[in-house]
Amino acid sequence: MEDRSPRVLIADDNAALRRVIGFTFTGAGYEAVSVNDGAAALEAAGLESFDLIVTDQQMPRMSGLELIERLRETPLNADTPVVLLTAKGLELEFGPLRKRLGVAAMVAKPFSPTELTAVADRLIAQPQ
Amino acid sequence: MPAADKQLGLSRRVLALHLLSSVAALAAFATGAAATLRSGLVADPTAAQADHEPQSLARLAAAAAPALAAGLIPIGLGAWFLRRLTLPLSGVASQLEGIACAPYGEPPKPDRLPGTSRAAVGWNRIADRLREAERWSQAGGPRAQLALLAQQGGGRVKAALDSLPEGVAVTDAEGRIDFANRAIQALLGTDAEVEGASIEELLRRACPAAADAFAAVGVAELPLGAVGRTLRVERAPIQGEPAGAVWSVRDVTQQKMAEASRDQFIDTATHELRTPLANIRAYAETLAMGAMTDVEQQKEFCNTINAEATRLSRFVDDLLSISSLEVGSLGAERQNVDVRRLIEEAAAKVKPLATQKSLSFQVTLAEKLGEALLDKDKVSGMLVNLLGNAVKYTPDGGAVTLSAVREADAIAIDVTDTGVGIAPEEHPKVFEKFFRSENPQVQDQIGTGLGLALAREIARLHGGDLTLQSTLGEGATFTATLPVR
Repeated sequence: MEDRSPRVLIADDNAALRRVIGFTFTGAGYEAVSVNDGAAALEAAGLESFDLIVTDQQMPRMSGLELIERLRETPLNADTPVVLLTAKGLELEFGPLRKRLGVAAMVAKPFSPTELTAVADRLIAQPQ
Repeated sequence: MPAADKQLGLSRRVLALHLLSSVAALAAFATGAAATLRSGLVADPTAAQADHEPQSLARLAAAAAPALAAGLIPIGLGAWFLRRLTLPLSGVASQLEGIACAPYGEPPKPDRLPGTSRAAVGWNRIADRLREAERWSQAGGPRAQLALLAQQGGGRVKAALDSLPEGVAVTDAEGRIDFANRAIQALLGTDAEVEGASIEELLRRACPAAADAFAAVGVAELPLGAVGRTLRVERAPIQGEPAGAVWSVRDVTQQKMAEASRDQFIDTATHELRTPLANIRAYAETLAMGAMTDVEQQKEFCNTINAEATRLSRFVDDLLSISSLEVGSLGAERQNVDVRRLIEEAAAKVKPLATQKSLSFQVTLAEKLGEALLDKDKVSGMLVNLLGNAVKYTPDGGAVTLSAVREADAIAIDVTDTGVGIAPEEHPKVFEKFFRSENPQVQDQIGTGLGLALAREIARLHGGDLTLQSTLGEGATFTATLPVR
């Protein structure tokens, strides 16, 4: 890991959740950037490189899966590991997508914030 | 005494009289004969018998005639009676003998017997049956008879099948339609005569996917792309000869739509339940870790948990109301309420949301709204829902207005927005449970599809109604009418 704090982009349409995830990542030593939907996340990902992207699946304007697909076309974040948050726990349905789209991990809501940062730490320590 | 016993008693008496008269006649005959003989023999016992014989015989005959006649009549009667009894029996016997001697395999051909005796009547009944059976077999046997029956009763069966909304068809071994009821044509979208046509060909014409649908299984759901309907087609083999199949064709479009909206509901409900739960868990855990020292921040986290718990319980309430609505047990507890206050309180709950989105939020109430018999909580819930929708589906900078007037015996409340609007084809569906618009601008927002269904139900519980006026892209007006008593 480099000297600087790892940078995480958080995309979720629920303001409260966005806030607590940001709070947890900041507490775990990350530099967190939060946006409220997929389109805003894509915009942010076009401007700077992140070490990790955490995105909700169900969001207005652009879903998490669409965001991941589009991220692969961005020069700065084409290989950034993505953690997909899902309120449906459809692990099986997302299984094939995970390979195709390069979803690094999936976390079902409700989740423990410390578990989420533990997953993030693991992904950053062992880049895929 | 019952009639039968009376009759029995009577015939016994008649028989006794018959016997008595017969015995009396025989006695008279015997007495007469004996007297004649005696007088002849005693009067001239020594006389030459040869001389006297003709004379005595004639005298004997003359003396015996009345007695004989008197004796013979009952005997004749008895004999006639016997003959009447036995003649049919002898007819039966001779016919049975004939039947027994008939060549093997030849059907018996009994003849009817004359007379009305019990034996004759019984025999004739058997004869008639056998002749009828013979006619049956000559007419082609039981199958022909069944066909005849089907023709007689078939009219009713056909009428019944034609009255079914479900399509029914019978095909032969080659899949050609022998019979099809009326619904088949409409379901398969054809005006042409279908009898004689290949059913698979007809199905293929209605839905190209039908070609493979019946290869292995007897049931398939066929989407009719052009009209957006779904047919459920089932095929079952007909037992016995000749081989064939019976088909049923049902329009399951409504069922499919219900399934789709239920799936959408489960999707939405899962999301609606998990989102507040995710927040409650994340905030509680963060607080519990004890790393947070800022008291204000702790308070803020606690408030978020509280707000999310409220959101969760409101959603559960909605679900319960919907299930009450489903079983028809949702009731209104009506009391006299100040209409102005009720509306203002409901509007105050939504106003912060409108302010957040920089919407103009106007409430225009008529001077005298007065009191009305309403279920305060339910009507308030309905108004919050209508105003909440208006805010939710109106882009930033738009306007939401509520106006209320008192009509003769009702309150009319309009909730108008300048939002995304509702396409005319969706107007009939917006009040259906779990319905959510196809409009992407609506899909982007979280919703359960329960709000408007509940809102209209609340208006109707009060004897009123909730109606909609809207043009796509130009906002919408929902009008609730609530009778004051």
